[in-house]
Amino acid sequence: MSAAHGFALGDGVTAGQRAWYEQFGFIVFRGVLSPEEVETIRGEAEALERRTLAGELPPSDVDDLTPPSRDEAGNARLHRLPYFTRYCPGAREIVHQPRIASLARLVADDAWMLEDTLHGAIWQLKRGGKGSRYSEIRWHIDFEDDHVLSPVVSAGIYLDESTVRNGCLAVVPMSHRYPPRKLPPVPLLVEARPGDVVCHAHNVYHGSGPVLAGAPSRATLYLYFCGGEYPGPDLPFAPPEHRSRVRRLFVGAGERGTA
Amino acid sequence: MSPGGLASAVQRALVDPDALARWSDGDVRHAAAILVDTTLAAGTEAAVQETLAIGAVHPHPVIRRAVVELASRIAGTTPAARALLGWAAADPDDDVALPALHACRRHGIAEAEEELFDQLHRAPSALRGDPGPGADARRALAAETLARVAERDPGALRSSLVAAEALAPPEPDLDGMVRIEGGEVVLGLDEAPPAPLFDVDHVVPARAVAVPPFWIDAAPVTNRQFDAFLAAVAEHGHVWCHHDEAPERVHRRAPGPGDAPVTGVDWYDASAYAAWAGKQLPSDAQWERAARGEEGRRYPWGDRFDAARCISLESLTGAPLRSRAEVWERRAERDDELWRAAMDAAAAHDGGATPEGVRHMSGLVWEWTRSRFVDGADADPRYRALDARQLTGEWGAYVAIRGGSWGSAAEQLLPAYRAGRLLLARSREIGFRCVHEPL
Repeated sequence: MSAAHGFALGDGVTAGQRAWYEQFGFIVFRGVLSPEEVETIRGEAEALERRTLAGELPPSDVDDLTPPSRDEAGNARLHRLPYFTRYCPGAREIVHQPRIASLARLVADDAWMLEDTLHGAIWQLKRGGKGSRYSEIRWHIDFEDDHVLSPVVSAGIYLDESTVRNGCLAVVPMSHRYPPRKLPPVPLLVEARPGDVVCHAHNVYHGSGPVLAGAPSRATLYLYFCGGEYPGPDLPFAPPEHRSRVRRLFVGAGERGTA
Repeated sequence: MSPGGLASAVQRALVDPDALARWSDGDVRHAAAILVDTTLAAGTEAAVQETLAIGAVHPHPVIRRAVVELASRIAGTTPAARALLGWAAADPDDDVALPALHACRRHGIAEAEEELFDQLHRAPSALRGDPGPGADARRALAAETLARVAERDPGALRSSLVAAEALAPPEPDLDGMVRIEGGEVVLGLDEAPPAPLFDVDHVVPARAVAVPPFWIDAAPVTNRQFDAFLAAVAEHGHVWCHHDEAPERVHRRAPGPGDAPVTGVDWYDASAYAAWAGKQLPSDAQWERAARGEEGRRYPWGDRFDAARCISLESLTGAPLRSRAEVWERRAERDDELWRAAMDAAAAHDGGATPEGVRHMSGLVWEWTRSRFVDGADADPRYRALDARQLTGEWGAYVAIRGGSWGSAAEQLLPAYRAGRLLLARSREIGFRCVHEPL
C-alpha cells in the first residue's frame, strides 16, 4: 500500500493534525468508520441509486454531471448521488458524530457541513468496464479561493479498497500554497481502505487515475466542510456556464481504452 | 604535385563532404583509402597530424574508421595516433569504436584509460576484470585492455582509475555497528503520550511492517569520522555525492570535539558520507526498529521516560519541563552552552543503550533518515535546478528525522515520533548514523 502517513482520529482533530493539513494540503485518517458504519452507508447508497433510477427523486436532486454507466449485464448504474445525507438517515447520523464533524476544524473552528445546496454530501462511484462514464477524474481543484464556500475541506469517506489499480486519489501536496514552478509537480498516490477518511484542501491539485481492466469499482462519500458563506438552499452544483467544464473532468473507461 | 601536397589536397577535400562526393564520385571508401595512402606517402608528421585530426571528427564513419586503421598501423611510433585510438574508442559507431578498441588492446594503450573507463560506464568493478552484464563487446574489450595495461605496469594507470578504486563502495566497517534482527515490527504507538508539551500526533496509530535484518551504527557519526570523509572528498572530489547535490557544494559541519556527534550537516552531507562509508542512511522503519527493539519499547531502555538515560533538555537543565514556555526560557540565551555541554558529554554517556547496544537513539541529536516525511518512501530528490528557497514548496524535499535532541522535551524523544525537515536544513540539533543492509 502506498503509505501516505496516516493519522488516528481520536475524539476530534488535534492541533498537530491541523498543522499537517495546513502544511501539505491533505491528511489521511485511518480506520475512522467501523465496518458496520461502512456497511450502513453502502446499503443506503444501493437503495438511493435504485430510487433515483426509478425516478422517485426530484430532478434537482439528481446528478447532472455524469451520465449513467452500463454494467456488464447492461443495467444502468449511477456515478454520483447528490444530497446523500438528505435521503440516507443512517449516513446522516454517522457523519454528524462529533468526531467526524470535528473534521470541520481543519479549515475553521466555525466551519459548517454542506448538505442542502450545491449537491451537498455526494456519493461517488468510479468503475471500469466498457460502459463506464466515470473511471478517472482529471487534475483539478474543488473550489476557487473566491468561491462563496471557500475555504473548504473535502473529506472523502472510503467505502471500498482504493488502490493504484482502481484509480486511487492522486494529490500534489503543498500545491494549495505553492503554485506550479519550473519542475513538473510530483503527485502522491493515496491508497485507502474502507473506513479511512482522506481530507484535502479545496485548492490543492488532485485527480485520480483510471480503474484498470479487471479492477473493482470503488465508492466514496464526500463531505464538504465550509468556512465560507452559506449561499442559500438548493442551488445547482455548477452554474450553467461552467457545467460543461465540470463534466469534462470525468473520464469514462472507454475514452481512455482502460476498460 | 608532391606527396605532401597531394595529401594536403586530399585532406582539404575530405573536410567538405560535398567536395568529397564530387571528388571521389561518391565512393567514400575509395576516398578514405586515398587519404591513408597519400598521408603515408607524404611521410611527414604534419600530414599525419592533419589526417588524424580529420579522422577524429569527420562526419562520415568510413573516413573515421580509415583513420583509426591508419593510427593503428603507426601507434607504436606516433603518440598522436595512440591518442586518436583512445578518442575513437568512444565513437558512437561500433564500426569505428571496435577497431580502435582492438588496437588499444593490441598496443596496450594506457593513454586511452579515460576513454576506456568511460566504455565501462565508470564502474570500478569492471577494473577488477568484470566487464559487466550483457554482450557488449566494447565493455569487454575496454575491461580487458585496462586489465592488460595494469598487469604490465600497475603504475601506468593514472588519476581517474585511482579515483575509481576510491569510488568503489568499500566493504563497510562493521566495527562499531550492531546487527539488528529482522522480522515484523510495530511502528508507532497505540496511544499518544498524555498532556505533551508538543503535539506528537504522528506516533499513532501503531502499524506493523516487515524489516529485513540490517546493521546500524552503535552511535551517531562523529566529527572525527566526518572529517575523514571530508579529507577523502578533498583528495578525490565529490565522487560519493548524491546525484541531486548542487555542483558548487562545500561539505561542512558545525565545530565540535572529535568524538562528539557531527552536527550542522544537511541531508546531502549525510548521504554522501554514508556512500563513502559503503553504507546508507537508515529508513524510518530501520531506525525505529533499532531504537524500540523487537518488543516495541516506548524508549530505547524501556517503557518509562528517564531523563538520566539520555541527553535532553531535561537532563542538561536538571529539572522536569512543565510548559512549552519553559522550554524556550531554558533555551533562550543558553543554546550555545547547552549544545556544548551535550557534545562534551556524548562520548562518555551511556546514551540509553538498547539491549543490543545501540546508543543515543533518544536525545543528543536528531538523526537524518532516508525516508520522506509525507509517505515514508525513500527520498529521491531532484531539485538541483531549483533555487534553494523554493524547496519549501516541495513536499518530497521533507525528510523524516528521528530521536529528538539535546534541546527536546520528553515526548519528542519517543523513538516512535518523527519530524520532518528540509533536505537542506543545517542545525546543531541534527546529526545522523548509518546502516548497512547485507545482501
